[in-house]
Order: sequence, then C-alpha cells, then structure tokens
Amino acid sequence: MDPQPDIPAEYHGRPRRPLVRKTLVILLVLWTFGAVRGAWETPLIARLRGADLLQAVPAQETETKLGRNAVLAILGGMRPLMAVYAKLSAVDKWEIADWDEVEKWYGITILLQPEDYQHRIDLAWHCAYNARAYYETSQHVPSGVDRAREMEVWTDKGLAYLDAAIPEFPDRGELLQEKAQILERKKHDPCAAAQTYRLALGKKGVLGYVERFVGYQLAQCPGKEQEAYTYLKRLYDEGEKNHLPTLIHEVKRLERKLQIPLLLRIPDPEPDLPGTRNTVPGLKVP
Amino acid sequence: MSASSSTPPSPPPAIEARELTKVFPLQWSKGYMVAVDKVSFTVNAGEVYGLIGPNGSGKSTTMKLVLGLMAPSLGTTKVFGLSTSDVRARSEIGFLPENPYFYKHLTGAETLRFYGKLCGLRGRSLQERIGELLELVDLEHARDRRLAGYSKGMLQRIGLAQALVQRPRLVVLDEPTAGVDPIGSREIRDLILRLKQEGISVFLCSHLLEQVQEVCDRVGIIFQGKLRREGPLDELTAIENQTEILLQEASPALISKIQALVQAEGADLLSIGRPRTTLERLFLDEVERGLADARSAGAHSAEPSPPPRP
Amino acid sequence: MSAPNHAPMPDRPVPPIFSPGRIWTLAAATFTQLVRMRTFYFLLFFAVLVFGMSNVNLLYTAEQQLSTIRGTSFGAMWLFAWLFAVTATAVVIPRDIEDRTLYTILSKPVPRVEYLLGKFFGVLLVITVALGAMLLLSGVVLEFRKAGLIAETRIYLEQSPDITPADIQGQLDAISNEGFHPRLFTAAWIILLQAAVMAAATILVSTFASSSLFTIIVGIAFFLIGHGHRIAVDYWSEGGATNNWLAWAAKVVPDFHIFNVHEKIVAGSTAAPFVMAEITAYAGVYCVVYLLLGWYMFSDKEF
Repeated sequence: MDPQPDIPAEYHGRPRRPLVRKTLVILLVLWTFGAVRGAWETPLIARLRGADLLQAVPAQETETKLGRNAVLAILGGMRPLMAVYAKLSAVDKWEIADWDEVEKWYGITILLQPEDYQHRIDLAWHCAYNARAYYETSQHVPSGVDRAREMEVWTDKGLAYLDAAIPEFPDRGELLQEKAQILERKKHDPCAAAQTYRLALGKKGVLGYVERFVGYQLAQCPGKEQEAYTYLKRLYDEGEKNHLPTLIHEVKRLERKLQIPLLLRIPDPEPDLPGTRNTVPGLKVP
Repeated sequence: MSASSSTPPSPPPAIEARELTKVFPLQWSKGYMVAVDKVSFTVNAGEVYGLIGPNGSGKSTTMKLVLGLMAPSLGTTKVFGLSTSDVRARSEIGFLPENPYFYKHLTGAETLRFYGKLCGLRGRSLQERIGELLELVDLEHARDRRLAGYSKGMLQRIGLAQALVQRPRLVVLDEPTAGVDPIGSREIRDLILRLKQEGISVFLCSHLLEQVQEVCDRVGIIFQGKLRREGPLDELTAIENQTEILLQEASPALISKIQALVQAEGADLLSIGRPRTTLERLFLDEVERGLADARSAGAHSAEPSPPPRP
Repeated sequence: MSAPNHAPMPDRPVPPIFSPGRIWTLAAATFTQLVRMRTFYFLLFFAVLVFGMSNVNLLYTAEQQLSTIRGTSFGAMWLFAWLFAVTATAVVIPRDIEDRTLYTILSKPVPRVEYLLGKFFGVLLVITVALGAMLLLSGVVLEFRKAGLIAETRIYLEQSPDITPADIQGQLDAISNEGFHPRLFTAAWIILLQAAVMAAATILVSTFASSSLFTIIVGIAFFLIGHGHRIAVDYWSEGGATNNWLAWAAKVVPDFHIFNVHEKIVAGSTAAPFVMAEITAYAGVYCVVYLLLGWYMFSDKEF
C-alpha cells in the first residue's frame, strides 16, 4: 500500500510509535534497577568472596589483574575446557622438550584457571625437574658450563613460579611442599627446605609425612642437629605410628653425632628393615 | 439496557465495528499510512459476513483488529458486546489464519489437544471434543499423523477444527480456501454453511468472490482501507432496472411470443440463451462421475483422502 | 462429513485472568518443539567429551584427573545452558510469528504474559532436563574413575614402608573428595539460574528485535557485558577511573559475576543453604524484572 501524503488532519499524531517511547521506559527501569540492586549486589559479592565462593584476584600489577579478570569475565565457565586444551598443548611440547613452549602453554593454562594452584605446581615441576634433567644430558648444549647454567636457570624458574603463586594461595600447603622438595632435591639446601616444609604444616592439602620431612631436612642442616634430634625424638615418642625406617635411621644417626647417652637412645631398628627413603609414592619425580 | 424494558434484550451482535481506523507509521520517515479508514460494520449473531477486497485493501488488518491482534488507532470493535482487548472475548472467537502452519511436530489430535487446553478444556470432555472435531473435518484417519505430513487442504481443515475447539460463537476465517483444490474448497464451503445452520456467526475475508457469494448473508467491499459498499448479498447484487426470467422446457414458439410482447411494451430484451454452470460445478461433477465409475468398476482408489463427497 | 455438534455454550465459564495450566500447556509445547529440533544431540557431544576426558592421560595426579573431569563437565554444562538459553529463546517467538502459530494462540483466551511465560518455562524445562542428564552422566563417570584411581593409589602407597596407614588414608580421602559430591547439585542449580536470567533477558530483547539473529547477537553481547561488568566496577572501586558516563551506563547492564560461584563450588567450596537461597532470589529478581519489561513491550505489540 502506498503512503498517503494527503492524510486528513484528524489522523495527525495517531500513528503510534511505541518502540522509541517504550525503549526509553525500559532503559529507565533497567537503570533504576541497576541503581537499586547495587546496594544488594556489592555486599553479596563481598560475602561470597569472603566465603571462598567467588574468585577474588589478589592485588597484582593492574595489567595482570585486568588481563585475568577479562579472561574470567569473557570466557567464564568455558575456561576449564580451554584450559584442558592449553594443558594438552603443553604436554605435547613437553614430549619434544620445547621448554619455552611448555612454559608458554602453562602460562595460558594459568591465565585461564588462575584459581587452580595445581597448574602452578605443574609448571614449577616441569621447570625444576624435567627441563633441568633435559639440560643435564642434552647433546644440543655441548658445553658442560652452559648445561650447568641452564639447569640452574630452569630450577630457579620453577622456584620463582612457586614464589609468585604462594601469596595468591596463602592457605594451600601444596605449593610450599613443592618448593621445599625442589630446595631439598635440586638446590640441595636442607636448611631452606626444612624451613619451607615447616611453613607448609597445618595448611590445606598437607599430609602427615610433611611433619617428618621437616625433621629429616633439619637433620641435614649444618648447625641444626640438636634441634633436629629434639624434633624427631618427639615424633618418635608419639608412638608406633611414627616408628618408620627413615625416622629411626635419622634419630640413630643424630644420637651418634650428638653423643646422646646410651640410656636415652632409642632401640636399634630391626636388621631387616629396608633402606631409608625420603620420598612419597604418588609425588611426581622425573 | 433498562431492566424495566418490556421487550426482551436482543442478543449483542457478533461483531460491532465502529469507525475502525488503523494508521501505520512508516519506518525511517515521519510519514504514515492509513490501512483501515473509519470502517463500520456489524455482523449479527448467526450471520455469515464476507469482507471482500483485492490484496492490500485492508481486509487482514480489519480482521486483526477484530481479533485483538492489533489495537485500532481510532474507533472500537466489540465481539458479543465485549471489547476485543478483553481476553474473555477471545473465548467466543475461533480463528483460522490464511495458510495456517501449526506445530509440525504435533499430530492432528495433539494439535487440537494443545488448543483445547489453551481454552481451558481438560480431561474427558477435551478427548471427546477432539474426536468430534476430527470427525467433523474428516481427519480421523490422520489423527496420529504429524502435521508435517499433512497436505495443504488437511492443514486448512485441522486449522478449522482448532478454531472450533472451544465451541466459539464467532468464527473468523482468513482466505479459508487459499491454495486448496476445488474439492477441499467445496468441503470448507459446506462446513461454513453447516456452521451457519448451527447458529454460529462467521466473518470471512476473501478475494474469491464466487465463494463469498455462495455462503455469505451479507458482504462488505473494502478498497484502499475504506468500506465502499455493505449490505445483504441479494440487495447488493440485484440490478434494479433489470429482470431475469428463467424458463425450463420452453418451446421456440413461446420464446418468440415473449420477444414480441417485450417489444410491444417498449422494453429492451438484452439476451436470450442457456444458463451456464460454473467451472467449479463442472469440475466437481466430472470428479464425482469419475469416482462413481471407478467404484462401479470395482477399482480401489489409491487416494485414502479425501473421500468422495456428495 | 458427519453432523457437527456445535450447540453454543451460553453459560461459558469466564476464563481465568491468569492460568498456570495454560502456561504449562505452552511450556510443554515449547519443550517438545525444542526437543524435536534435535536439541539433545548436544548430550552426545557431552558424553564424548566426558568419556574422553576420563581417559586422557595428562600425567595428572589422581585428584587432578578427577577435578579435570569435573571442570570439563561443568564447563560444557555452563556453555550449553547459557548459549541454549539465548539461542532457543531467540528462535521460539519469531518462529511462532513466522508460522502464524502466534495468531492462533493469541486469538484463544491466552493473555500475552502467559504466552511469554510459557516460552520462558519451556526453554528452562529443556535446559533443566539436559543439565540433569549431563550431571548424571558426569557423576557416573566421576565415580567410576574415582573407584579405579583409589584402587590404583592404594596398591601403590601400600608398597612403601615409609608411609603410615594414616597417610595412606589421607591420600585416599583427598582423592575421594574429588569425586562426585552432592554440592555439585548446587553448582548445576546456579548454572540453571544463570540460564534462566539469560532466557528472561533474551525474551526481553526478542520482544522488540526484528530478527532471531539480532536477538542472538544482542543476547550474547548482554552475557559478555554482564560478565565484564565486574571488571569495570572493581577497577573503579580502586580509583582506576572516574568516567561518569561509564558509571551511568554500567547501571543499565546486568552483573552476572555472582553466578561464577558455580566455579568455586565445582572446585571444592560449599555454599551454605542461605547463600544458595540468596543467589536464587537474586536470579529471581532479575528474571522478574526482565520478564515484566518483556511483557510491557509485548503487551500491545502488533503482528
């Protein structure tokens, strides 16, 4: 139908254009709703963050914080799926020993799931164990000096990733435990390892054996023998549950070293007990 | 209406449209267009009213205003005395849109159940009503077939059945035979006449003049949004200054006498000839004859639907 | 044709102004409409994903393997729920208009608000059933995998003389905690709540949109803005910006940050019943506001 330009005056203003009017009303209502709900939303979000139900990205450089927040916001619940893909890519690069790529893909995984501390542990483990082991025997780096330098570089990277992550997860003990193990096994620094194991005690995810590890590392720390003996003897005296081969071995060694009177010494271990161990099955060791 | 009135109150008209006007704004401009311009008409209870006009004349807009799918810019429409914006008014209306498409995943029976439930029907009464309607529109054989497998004529018939599901007092039909073959068209026409016999008011929009002429008591002719003519069909179609005499078994001598008489009286004899049947009638007669022949020859029809109609 | 039975009903009962029965009829029709559109094929994709994840060896620890299955399952559920809420809601109303089914529905004694609610609940019904099926599937896979991992870990740990039974139990408990847990129902509920809000918002958009594509694009944008909203708020709260216009605009867009609670629940946190009730009320208020505005727009829309 063609428009009729000679429309009678009585129809003027009759065609209703509700869309514009209604859109304005809707915007106004949405704005009012936004203004009102803020009074409910903001404290609710604070409470949910307090109850560990919402991710609160801790204070960091603004750029990192914004980047992480943007990923959190935009990808939302799809992040686990993408994180799996990123992690698969990292594993793929690990198989060809491309450590820069492993680091990059773990970086993406962490960006996607900053709340999962396990990714930080995995990255540190790859750096401090796998990359380090690779450079220990790599034919691509003929110079022994260079290989030693690379080994230290990747070990330090692993520790640095953990140091960055620990303040983000102050209640998790696994990160400290991982750091202590690197200090113990790769840096051969029992004093620092003992101190780090001790920091892990009482935190979430830390099992009973870590308490013993504190003593084992103290026992290796020069100048800390007396403290180590007291610590391990206390554990020994707690009962049968702690009468484990490594603990008995360390106590006996310290008794001899500190010349503890025979009467105060613990009984000799059974002769057929296996050798000492300071590892726990299930923990990843390359 | 006064309670002290001596005469019983007359039933309200099925549709009462007064000064019905619809003005549409034009998109992206300040202009506007009058689709329906001060249209007034009444459809009395039990009457079949046909609104005819070419495409784009305002028929569908008028119908939507009657159904309450659009609000008038000016004027009012009432259905049995209730405003069309009142949900209760729609209990009285059954509507069949042009080329209806229902949920294709539903069967015929499920479609009627769905619309019946929307009208508040439940349980056994709904089941019975579904059976009645499927029988009425001759779709019992397709009751459990999905609508995706229905022909156009079958869709039109199930559409008519859904329009009738809540026993409305007014049925609004928009081009009810659009795209339907002559046999299906005839069935729908017969159904409209049956509805009329039942006292149901019918408001029919069509541009098929012959069809309207066959079933409607009154018609309105709408063009460019204005109702140009309106009234009983006989009055509208009668030519005031002409008279038609139809003879059977008239001899040539009788016709000569009539011609002479007309001439003597000073009137003009415009034509003498044999009345013709309509093409539709001719087509239907041939189809029926063919079916009868096939039956007598003992042949079985490959078409399960539609069955032959008298 | 048989003799019709069309005696008019002079004492026709007045149809109720608001009828849950009619809403349910419309919701059930929408449900079957969407199911017939092969919506549940997504479940096959989900099943492949979850079974695949349970067999992928990323050298994870036992806990990680389980938490990855959980995270992946709920990631897929989350994606399905909100994306389906947007796309399905954006399609159902325009399709009714296109097929003129809307004419026949609205010409029956059906108030328009009931039509909108019917569509809304129909979409939610599909999402609820799909989420339920996905939750069940992921639960079965999680428990099956958990049983295997516990058995393997026990055998491995018991070989070590330096591990106490208490340590072994602690390790096994840690694995056990990563399996299926009733708290995951609350995570699925929050995913459903977010989908409900998205469906309500999409209904609002579709009442004035001219095409399904436009509705889908606006719906997705709405979702992204809703999730990005909190970045801006946090940024401002730290004094990072003082743009008044942006602050004004932020009040119009929703804040979906609260629905991210499901991630922490999937990861291991537990939400107290009153917290769940408050989040449910929060989502309910959003739905009511969006649906009321959608009704306002749809109430005199002309077709």
